[in-house]
Amino acid sequence: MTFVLGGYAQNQFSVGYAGSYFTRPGVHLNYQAHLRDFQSKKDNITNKALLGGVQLGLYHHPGMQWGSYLAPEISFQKQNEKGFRIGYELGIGALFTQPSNLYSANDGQYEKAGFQPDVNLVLTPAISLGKEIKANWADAWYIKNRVMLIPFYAEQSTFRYFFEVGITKSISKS
Amino acid sequence: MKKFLVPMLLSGLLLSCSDNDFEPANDTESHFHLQVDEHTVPILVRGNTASGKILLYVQGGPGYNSLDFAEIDYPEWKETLEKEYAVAYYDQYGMGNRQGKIDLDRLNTELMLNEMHEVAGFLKAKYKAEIILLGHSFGGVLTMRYMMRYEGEETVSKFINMNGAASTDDDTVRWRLRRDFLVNLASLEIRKGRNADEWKACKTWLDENPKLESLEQKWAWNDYVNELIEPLYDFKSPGAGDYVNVIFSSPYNVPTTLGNSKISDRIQEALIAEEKEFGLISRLDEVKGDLLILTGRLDDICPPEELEYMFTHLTNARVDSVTLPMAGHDAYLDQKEKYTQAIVNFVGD
Repeated sequence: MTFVLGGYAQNQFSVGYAGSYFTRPGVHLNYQAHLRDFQSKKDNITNKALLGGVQLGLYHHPGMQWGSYLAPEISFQKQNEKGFRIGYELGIGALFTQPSNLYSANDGQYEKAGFQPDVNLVLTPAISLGKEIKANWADAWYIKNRVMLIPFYAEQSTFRYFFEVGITKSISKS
Repeated sequence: MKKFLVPMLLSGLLLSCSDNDFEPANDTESHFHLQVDEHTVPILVRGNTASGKILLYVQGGPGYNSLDFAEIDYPEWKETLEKEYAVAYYDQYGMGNRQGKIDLDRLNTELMLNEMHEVAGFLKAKYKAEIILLGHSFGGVLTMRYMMRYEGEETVSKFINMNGAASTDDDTVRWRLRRDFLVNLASLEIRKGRNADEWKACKTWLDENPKLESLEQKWAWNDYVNELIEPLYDFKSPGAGDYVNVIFSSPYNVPTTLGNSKISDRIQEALIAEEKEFGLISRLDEVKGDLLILTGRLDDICPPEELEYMFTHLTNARVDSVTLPMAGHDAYLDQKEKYTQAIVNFVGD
């Protein structure tokens, strides 16, 4: 999350656990570049920001598939005086899924199939909550609820839900 | 970004290869996917693969899922059938945990049979096991269709049709046999004195309606079945715990399946229309192989009267026929011990 009270913003990198339905483990990486600040008229501080970035993730649904996704995103973040943050994101990208333990027939022999993922368009809206922390290893922690909408999946639309928890670290000042 | 993506995908692929195990065991539980044309078939093999026999379960409906059926152990085979043999469950084309390119316009019986054949071939090759088809309801119909389609092939050694009626609603014989079913049960129940007045009224209606031809007559028959026969056995519904299990700990793709009803309707429409045209009930003599046909005495979908008709007309198959007492369409639940014994008697050691 790129957000700091006081009128300057930062590009940031986030990393977190992102479990599909909590229990199907995965990791989520997120780079967000600061695009623009918004100043609060009420108290004359900058407490909102627009960011653009890219998210990358990998999850494992045991017995079903490995999934990885890559999605450019845009997000809007807000922070209060106590350092609590809320963010709204929308990404659009691609989901690559590889069925677990996939076999195919070849000349009457059944062999392990190579990497041949299905590729689907995805929309990834998310809402995050977090808080600033003063540590060398992180600038904030966050939790995020993300829905991955898959508009065209095997003759219908579907979705996956991800619960994400992680940390954010500033990587440069704008 | 590509620099990150490729290693991530490759690492996923490598990890996905780590659970490959076809070693025989008496408590196997393995998930596989099989590429068939452009789609992948999810398969669960569970139970006693050390027996050297795998019962390949063919789900009914048409349009019902198998993996969730297995996950919640709806048929309660974990403690019965799966102790004796392994049972393989798979989601048929377009259903349940489908992945890959699915085109429901392509769906037909031939595709379903080919998929069964591929799955059976895969299991036979990988486990070096004897494969027995175990079809329930419409899956039983598909099992008999498989016997006709792949006659002479050695992939599957034996076939079981449980509660699968060969007739369709368009067949006159279906309604003659269904009427006989109600007549016989009415006589039996009147003799027993159980709900005698209601059964006598039913018997009077049957006497007044020697043929069931109109839609009204068929609905009336259905009403008598609902009122007098269905209360005679328990109907099992999945509990809240089953749903939680499926959502959080199974390989089940819940949201995809939540939207399945329209797809299930399309599948039913396509396959049943094709079955009506095929007319299996009048082609039973084309079915060849070792076949067990099994139903429950109280099964109104595949009544014992139809089972007897099938037994008589399956003239070119080696057929065993079993009717389980006090059992309905899910006969495996209503008479677990007798059902398991019937399967063991047929499949053998």
